[in-house]
Amino acid sequence: MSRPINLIEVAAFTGMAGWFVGHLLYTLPFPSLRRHLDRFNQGLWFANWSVFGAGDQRAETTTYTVEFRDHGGLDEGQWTQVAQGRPWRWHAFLWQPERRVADRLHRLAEGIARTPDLDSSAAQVALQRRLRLIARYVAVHSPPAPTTKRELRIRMTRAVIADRPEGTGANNFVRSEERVLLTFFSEANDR
Amino acid sequence: MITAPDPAALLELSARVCCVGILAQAIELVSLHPELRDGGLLGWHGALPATFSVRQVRQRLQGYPVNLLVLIWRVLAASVLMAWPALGSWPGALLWITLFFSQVYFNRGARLFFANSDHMNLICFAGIAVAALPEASVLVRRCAFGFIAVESCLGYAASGFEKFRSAQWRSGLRLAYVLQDGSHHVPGLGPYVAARPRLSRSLSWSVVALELSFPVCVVMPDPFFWTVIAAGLLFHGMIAVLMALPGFFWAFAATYPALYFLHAWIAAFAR
Repeated sequence: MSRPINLIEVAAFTGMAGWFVGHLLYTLPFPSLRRHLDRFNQGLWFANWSVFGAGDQRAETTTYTVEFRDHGGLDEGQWTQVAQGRPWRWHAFLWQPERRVADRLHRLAEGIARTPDLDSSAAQVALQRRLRLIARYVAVHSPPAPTTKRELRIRMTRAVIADRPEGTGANNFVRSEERVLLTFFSEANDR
Repeated sequence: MITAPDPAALLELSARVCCVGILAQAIELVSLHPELRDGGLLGWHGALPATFSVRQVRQRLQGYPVNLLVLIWRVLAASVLMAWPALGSWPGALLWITLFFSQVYFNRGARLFFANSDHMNLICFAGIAVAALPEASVLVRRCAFGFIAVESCLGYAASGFEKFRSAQWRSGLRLAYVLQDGSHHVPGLGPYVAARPRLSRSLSWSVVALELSFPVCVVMPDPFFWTVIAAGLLFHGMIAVLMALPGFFWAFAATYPALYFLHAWIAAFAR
């Protein structure tokens, strides 16, 4: 006599098979496919196996993007803005006194800076620069937000000087980033 | 006639190794207990929405003290299951299912801490929970165990292939960078390896070769299989000691009985 179909078994088979196929597809080197899967994945169902043992810096960047998108409340669009060096909302990091986030951001920035085979486009440079700044800023400072331009400049200068080797134009860097930060702070204060 | 090994005995071994991993991780988390509180690494739920919403409830569930309760539950369940893996009974299956969902909880909410090795834990819990169902047939148990094995192979292969494609890994540079990471246990190791490019290159290539060997070893004769397994244990042991990442050791060691099962099953088919 044949055995009756056990629905739990069927569900288990289907789930495991689907999970494995999803994993396999996620592992393939097709970024657009991975992006589609990411919408379903949310960093949970498909591990980015390629970053095991700190694999490739590009892959790490993807992972960090997923992490900070979820933890910092940034969506894909905001991360695109970061990567393109456009102004974005900084509050996700600034209001989280999380040293480890800062440390990891800082390490990521360092990794990008010393990876010679990475695309050295302006977007990468901007991303690296901002990550480094945010990392230092988060590590050194905590809320409340600066209320005056002077206070902001003092904090920023401290953060950047602490982060940069001597003689690399910290003040110019602060000025160039100032507008972005002030925009953010005015938005934050408006809320 | 040679038959495939009994999945039940190997499943119990996998289950016990998983439980040891959970307990080891729990000890690590207890030492980091301030991180469980709101604002910490494991209790971090960002800015709460001001108004009541599903997102607010979800974020509160992710925070303290729920995360502490989930952690305590994991320790209790793992302690029970380590002594009594309880495969084939409803209480045991339910305990494994709760462990699976506790892993989902932490993997989803605390991704800065729960990373790749915890994903392998998730896969192990899923496979073991399915195999632990009281009505699971032998075929289902074999498939559940096979699932763990092929996922382990996929993890190793993808990681090895990605390293192989990277010029920095092939040259040994990347390994030197990785070892210089400030969070690791042995600060002098990175500069030591970085100063010896040949050593760095040969170590890099040995990692690549080992990772790419895993999917191959299941279809190879016993001596090759056991060599790869021993090298894998040594590899993860070194990572645990030198890089302060013990999670990989337990998570991947738990898949080795499944790899052996797949290896023996394939060998039985081949004969």
